[in-house]
Amino acid sequence: MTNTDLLKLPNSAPRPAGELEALERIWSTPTGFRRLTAINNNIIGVYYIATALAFFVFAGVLAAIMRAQLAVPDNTLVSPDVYNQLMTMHGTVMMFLFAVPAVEAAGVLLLPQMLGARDLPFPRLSAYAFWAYAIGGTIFCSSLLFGLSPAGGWFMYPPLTSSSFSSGIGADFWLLGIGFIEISAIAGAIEIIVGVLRTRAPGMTIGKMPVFAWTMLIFAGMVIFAFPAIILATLLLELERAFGWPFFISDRGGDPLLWQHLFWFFGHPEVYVIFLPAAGMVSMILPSMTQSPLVAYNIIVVALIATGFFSFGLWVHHMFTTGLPNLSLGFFSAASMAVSLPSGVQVFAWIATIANGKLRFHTPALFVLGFLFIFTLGGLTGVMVAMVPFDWQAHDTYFVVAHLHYVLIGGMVFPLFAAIYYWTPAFSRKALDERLGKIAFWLMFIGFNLAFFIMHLTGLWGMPRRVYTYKSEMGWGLPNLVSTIGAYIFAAGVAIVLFDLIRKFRIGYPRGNVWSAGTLEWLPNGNYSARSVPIIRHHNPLWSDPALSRHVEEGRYYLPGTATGYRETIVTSPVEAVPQYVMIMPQPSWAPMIAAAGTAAFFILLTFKLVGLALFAGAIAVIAMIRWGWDLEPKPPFAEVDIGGGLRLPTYMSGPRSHSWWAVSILLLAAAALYLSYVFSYLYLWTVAPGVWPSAADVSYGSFAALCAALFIVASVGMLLASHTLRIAHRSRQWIFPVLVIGSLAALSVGLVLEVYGHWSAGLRPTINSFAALTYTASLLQGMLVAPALVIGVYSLARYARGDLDSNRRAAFDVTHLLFQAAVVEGLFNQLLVYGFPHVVR
Amino acid sequence: MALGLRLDWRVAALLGFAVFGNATEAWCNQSALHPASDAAERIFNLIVVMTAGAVAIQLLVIGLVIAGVYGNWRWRHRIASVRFVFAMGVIFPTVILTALLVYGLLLMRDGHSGALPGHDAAPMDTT
Ligand code: HEM
Ligand SMILES: [Cu+2]
Repeated sequence: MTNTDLLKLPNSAPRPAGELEALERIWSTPTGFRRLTAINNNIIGVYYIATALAFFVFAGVLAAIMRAQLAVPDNTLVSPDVYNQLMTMHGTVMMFLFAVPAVEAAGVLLLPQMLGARDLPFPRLSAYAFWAYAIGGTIFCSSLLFGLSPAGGWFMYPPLTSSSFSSGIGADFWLLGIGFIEISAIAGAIEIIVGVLRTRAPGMTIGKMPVFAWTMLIFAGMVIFAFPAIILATLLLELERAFGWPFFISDRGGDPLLWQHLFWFFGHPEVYVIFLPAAGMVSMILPSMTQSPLVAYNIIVVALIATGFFSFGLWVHHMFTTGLPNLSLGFFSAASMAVSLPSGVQVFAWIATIANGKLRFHTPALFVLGFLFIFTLGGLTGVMVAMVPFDWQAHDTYFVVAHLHYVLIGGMVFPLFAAIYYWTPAFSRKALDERLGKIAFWLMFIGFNLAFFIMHLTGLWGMPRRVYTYKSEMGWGLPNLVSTIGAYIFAAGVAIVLFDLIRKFRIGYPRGNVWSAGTLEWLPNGNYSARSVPIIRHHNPLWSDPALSRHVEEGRYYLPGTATGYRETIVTSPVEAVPQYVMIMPQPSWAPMIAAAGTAAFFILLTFKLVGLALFAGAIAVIAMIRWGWDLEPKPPFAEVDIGGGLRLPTYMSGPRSHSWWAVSILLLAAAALYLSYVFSYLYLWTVAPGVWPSAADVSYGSFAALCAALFIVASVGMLLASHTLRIAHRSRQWIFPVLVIGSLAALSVGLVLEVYGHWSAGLRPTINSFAALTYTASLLQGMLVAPALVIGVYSLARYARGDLDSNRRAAFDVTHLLFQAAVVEGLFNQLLVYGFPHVVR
Repeated sequence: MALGLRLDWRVAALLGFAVFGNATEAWCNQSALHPASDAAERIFNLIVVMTAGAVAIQLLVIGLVIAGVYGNWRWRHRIASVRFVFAMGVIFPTVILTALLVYGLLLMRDGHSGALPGHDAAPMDTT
């Protein structure tokens, strides 16, 4: 049996001399200050998590100041305005700069190893997303030092945050900063989706994928559909603040409630965006702590998918007290309860897994148990506030503060700390200290419950949230003191973990499989992940084949070295994980970091209204991005390579099977979500203020509509022809392709400009009412697709001129083409909405 | 029986009151545990019922975890099954939540006769 098994291995041992060395050389991390150019997931992933933890500490310090202020009644430690800034920054940083990036970082760090890939498919994009987040986030936090922070609470409701009530720069900081960081989150999500679906080890069908990969896939999908809503919201509010376009001002046909809808359409899924990956971590840690497979894998996966879908139908439960009709209250109340079902299922599946094996009380197991306790309670109080009458009482009291911290700290921080203890030996030369870990756990567990359990009562006793102090007659002194003491005990626990991390965590040849776990990230690995890529037949391959680690390390499985001399990974089919081609991956580069710094500077300078400088920074970012793309897709030395076992794979792929095609398609899904949020806003404001919509008679601004539409269609056809000429590749008539591309790009741009000119010349000004503002926004959104299509279009022409774009290697053009056609479709829709709609309804 | 529950809650609340002796004023001010109208009274009953339910479920979960770790093989065998996951994770909460929802919807209907916050706190004219 062993013999036949050995015979089935694709490659023979011993491997040729120098093979491993070549692999190590091509994957080696730059040293010295060139370390900043690293793009490999085990480096970027670690930086990413470390940065997220730094923001956690920062926001935690703010919480500590708030708790000190609230410890006794009538306290004057901080002023009301400072308190508001502290509270807003704490909530914002925790949610946007800690929780979401931390789980995204965990995905970047863990997924390639877990799936048997060498790296995520777009390493430079991960590096860009990381640097954008680190630089942008740091500047955002530093605003507190200058007293310039936003103070409108983490959900920034207008009219409080409109220019009439928050005239300072703080709100702009929030809007531009957060909008920008969401863009980086979307970049990361695209990377994760393509990574999970296309770079799994051969044989790892979607049904054998580790639960963590499932959760990251759903996480990323939710980011793609939910985050555009907040990007649109921040865009609209910033347009209103900066230029007076009235989206939220009711005098001119706007409505502040629109913000609440958009915010919570993002904000509720965001909660699950944070929780799902944490649940995935638990589903990985428990089997190895109990040494038995997860019970009810299938039910868990169904539950995860269900959570992803349902969570988009619940946003209104944050608006129970805004005076909505009872029917919708009832509906959203029911939906909110329904979404607790999938979480409940998971809790019981974890309990079943515990009963299935023998739980070993290592530190990660303790944190998981703490998570089960806290998260269950948070879920139960969640059901309570989902009951509309109860929410009438508890809304905006400390009961809600208690609930949200039970869910967030229980549902995300405890699993994250379990994960830190659990996965450190997979990446660091040393594991963390078990004894300190246990002490830290108990401090955190006891401190947390002390701090937050009592808040349920403080809330029911009537203490509102977001108050900087309270009168001693209210009688809330003692419970608040208890909360403060608990918070400091919790902080002590966190400090111990960080101390141990700083002491023990060192990137290098990892300590290895100390927990006898069964999944691929525990294979012996280096910068290149596993030496060779195994064939997967089970959920826990390391348990079902004890020789797997040895064979992988000996290079007996697929791709034991570098086949093309570049960095590379195997791309497989999305469902069955059948190998399709070998993808050549980029080398380290300064470009992602410079592009990120440029983008961050662009947004920050805009906040200060330094438009010239901002444009300069933006130009640097664009140049860096072009530089970063320029040396992608080098001409492969061979059209096909043998990765072992006689399996020959192409080294290049274009069209719908290629990873770049997938990435752009997913980006376009995000653009579609953005556009749908826009359509929602348009229709919503129309129902609120139909009076500002023009009557059919005076839709005079529509004079150019038909012309624009015609131009868009001509452009679209021109681009299709260009695509066709590239395919048939006329050697003699090489000028046709560039002429078609330039002509189409020009037609598209002229159409867009004409559209705006049409509104303007008819006397329509964006500031007069919400209809006009929305009309101009339509063009703006289309412009957000046209601009990148122009840049990448010109870039493809440059590649064409260099001879790097032909009927085979045509990814750059295909990317342009997809963006281009999306811009056309959006333009046509705009004509319908902006010119057609008023005709129909009047 | 609802009355019995409520009295028990009052006793517990009194205990809490003893501990947090300085909470006097809150009791008469804006505490949700000190209902001053009919509508608030009905919501108070809901609070009592839900708290009792939440405590029971929390204890159940803790008990099951303990049984899963330390229980004899019979218990553990029973818990470690897809059937258990389905019964406890799907059927049990569906029943409980449906009942709770009906209760809540009835309260919302009643609430409309009284002066509920949702009712008169909607001054925003949105058209
Ligand atoms: C030791 C840990 C923590 C302590 C002591 C703490 C404490 C606080 C305090 C005192 C407030 C202000 C309440 C108010 O004035 O209404 C608050 C609000 C908040 N916290 Fe925390 N927190 C902690 C951890 C976290 C974590 C880990 C998250 C998220 C992942 C988080 C998310 C929030 C949010 C979203 C708010 C609401 C802010 C707002 O009202 O706009 N907190 N927290
Ligand atoms: Cu929600």
